[in-house]
Amino acid sequence: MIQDKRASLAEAASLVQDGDVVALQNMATQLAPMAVVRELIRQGRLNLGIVGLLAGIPVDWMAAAGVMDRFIGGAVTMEQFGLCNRYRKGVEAGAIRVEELSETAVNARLGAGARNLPFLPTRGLIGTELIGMDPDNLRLIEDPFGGRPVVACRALVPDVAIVHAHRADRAGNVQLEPTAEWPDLGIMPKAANRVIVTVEEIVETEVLRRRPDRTVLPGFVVDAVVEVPFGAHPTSCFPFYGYDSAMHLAWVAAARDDVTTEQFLDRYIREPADQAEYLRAVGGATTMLALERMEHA
Amino acid sequence: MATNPTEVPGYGCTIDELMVVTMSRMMGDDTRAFNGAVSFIPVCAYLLARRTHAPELVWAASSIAIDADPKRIPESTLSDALWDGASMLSNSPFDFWAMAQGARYNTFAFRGAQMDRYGNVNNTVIGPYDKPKVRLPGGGGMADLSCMIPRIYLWSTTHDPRTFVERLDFRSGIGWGDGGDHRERLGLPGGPQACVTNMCVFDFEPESKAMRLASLHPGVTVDDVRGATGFDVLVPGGEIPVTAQPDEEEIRLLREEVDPTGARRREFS
Amino acid sequence: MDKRRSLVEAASLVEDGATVAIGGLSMNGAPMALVREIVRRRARDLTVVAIVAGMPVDWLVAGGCVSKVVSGLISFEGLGLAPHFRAAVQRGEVEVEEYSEHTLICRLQAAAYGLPFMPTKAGLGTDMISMHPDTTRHEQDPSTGEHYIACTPLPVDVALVHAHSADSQGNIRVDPKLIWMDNEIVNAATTTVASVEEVLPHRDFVAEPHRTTYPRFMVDAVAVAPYGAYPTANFPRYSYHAQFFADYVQATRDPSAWAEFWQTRVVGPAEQGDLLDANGGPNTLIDIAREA
Repeated sequence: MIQDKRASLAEAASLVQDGDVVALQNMATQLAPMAVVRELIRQGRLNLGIVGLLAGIPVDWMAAAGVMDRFIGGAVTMEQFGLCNRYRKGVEAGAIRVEELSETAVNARLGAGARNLPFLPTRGLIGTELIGMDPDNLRLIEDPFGGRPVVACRALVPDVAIVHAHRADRAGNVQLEPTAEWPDLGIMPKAANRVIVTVEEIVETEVLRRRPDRTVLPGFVVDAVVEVPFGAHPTSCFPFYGYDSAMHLAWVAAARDDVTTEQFLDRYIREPADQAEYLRAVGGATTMLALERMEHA
Repeated sequence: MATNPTEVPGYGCTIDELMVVTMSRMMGDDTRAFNGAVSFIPVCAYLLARRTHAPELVWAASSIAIDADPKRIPESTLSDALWDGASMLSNSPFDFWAMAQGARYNTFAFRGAQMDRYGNVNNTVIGPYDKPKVRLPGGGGMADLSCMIPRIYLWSTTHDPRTFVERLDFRSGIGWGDGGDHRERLGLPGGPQACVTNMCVFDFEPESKAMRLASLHPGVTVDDVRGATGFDVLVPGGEIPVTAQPDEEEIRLLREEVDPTGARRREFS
Repeated sequence: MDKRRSLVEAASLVEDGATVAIGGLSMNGAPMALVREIVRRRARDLTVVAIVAGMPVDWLVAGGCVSKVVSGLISFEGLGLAPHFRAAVQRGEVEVEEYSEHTLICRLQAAAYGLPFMPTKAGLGTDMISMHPDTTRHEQDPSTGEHYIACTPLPVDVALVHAHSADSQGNIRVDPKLIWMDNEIVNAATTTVASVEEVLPHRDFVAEPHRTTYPRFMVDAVAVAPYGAYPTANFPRYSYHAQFFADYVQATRDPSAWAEFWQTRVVGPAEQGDLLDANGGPNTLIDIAREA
């Protein structure tokens, strides 16, 4: 019998322990598992190390709420909405430590973790100051065949990977709509010890069987699957909905000041008891419909 | 948000348009480019070059959507709104990074919060690393792609001594490294070809690989550039040319087809 | 740029002495129409890279085109060993450089990524590794003490792949995207030649860009070849032709039967239609048709 991996947000978030290294899907304003991020803040998790390629608002929220104390990755930015100022303050104050990686170094470190290798090499980083900062994890090594040196990126096995996708069945087989595939989904869940997936909808396995080529993650690597409509909001979930500019701007404004930051976290994260209350708080169906990108339909 | 960039005296266009056209003319038909975040000027340049002199030019929007032809350029150059009209949505780790590492893509444009005379860039911290005055986003793929891609183009819409510095606070991406043959000694292909700013165009002196004044935008003097640059600018002997004027057709295509909403001006806020 | 070429023109991109990588896996998706043209033009001294293959390698060996095979596994699976490959290797006419699948993939990836080597745990403790110390070497990570195999780049001159469709610019669609290791050979190769079941308008690729497998700038020539994987399969359109494999193996048992078989059923037929007619025609098409 196939194991039922369905869980509530609270149950899924409880797979993350204080101090864990958490690989978080996200590409600037796109496709972050925001519902789990909010739940981790609500549950008051502490000292998380967040692994990300190009992280945006989820890291800024977690920095603001004090749930993270290190970032391991490539960059943290909300792109056109500007720097993540709460994250920035955390780093400048010494509350958040950064393990500086490039994108290929993130992929190589997680890829080595996924393949049970001590390291994977990259051609990147050479000649930059990222080498030498963290010799435990990034090191210029000689080619055993006498060629030119490469950068060995030490295996990184996150405690948990958290990703958001379009649909799954109750066994945790995860399927994407036709879309660009960022590195997160292909690599993070394969490297991590535990995997949490949120999806726009949970469907019968029969629905997945119609297009098996669109299944990107088999259920056997997934520990919890949670149905969360608009679960990436305020980041985008192409082609279902775009990122929420108004929400990003509201956050940027609130994040300028400690008091308004707390008010924002209370109103949108700590007080809404579930996804429906959260969606009401951010403007309800009117907001959600405005985010849907009809031209792609 | 977007402000109105300055008029270029006598050229019938604004500085953002001159920068786009100048960069566009640098792109040959064999260009295979892609873009990262907040890259409005190069994105416009690729789209314009494809419409004028480089029909075979390859551009992967957001490094994902190959041959995209968006009706307008959105607020983010990493967002899906840039992908309309693509003939392929590639898978980032298995398609994009494989092809970037193998230099199948040959052209990359980037800017940094700081740049030095050798075209190295910083997008990581201002001030000491352990006690930063400003924590910047981080280099993202810059440390990778600056090593992998042979034709590097730099641009800046803020030509001032804070951007063009004598010494970077952190080297997040490599240009010509310490200059001379440093890049070659590291086994890295090619290097920076040019830097297009809101005041001038730099190329790189072939021996030292230091930025050298190649042309001045109309109304800008050599002393203006010197005053706005934190390192000694190499100035070749003789008259410094004025950056060539865009054709009417280039300006029309840019305004009407490539970027009708003026997203490129977001880089001047 | 129009990348469409005839099969003959496309096959001529494989020069004598070249290293040629063959796509597909075992009985699936091999670029047989291109391979047949290479045999027909009597290419010589090829190094053939095929991770897991059967019939394409056997045709090339039977045609006298091959001096070396770099591979993981060459067979017809349940339909027997690849007879010419086996005989030529036993006679010492063709050299074999054997790898495990993943060490070979790592060698192709190292070439594609411009890296001096790719590490893997595949092959540790086997005889495979010490057979070619110039290309695979047992190493130990100094910081963790873990053992691994470092695999050197394997540069490929030409990759040959078969796909479902292309546009005239050379965008290629394998749909559903069952490409096994084809991505690795395309990324490692200087030149990529694809055969396709059909050419579609470019607008079809724009309408569904997520279905594109290789972008135009990775592809140098596209040749239309309906049933271009025959007698191997092209999922989900047609299956492999078991009868062809059986007849082929049977014919090799007798030299005169073989000469006749080779001429009439493999190299003699001029076009794809002639090839299919020589091998059962409509009955064969019905036989190998798959329920979608």
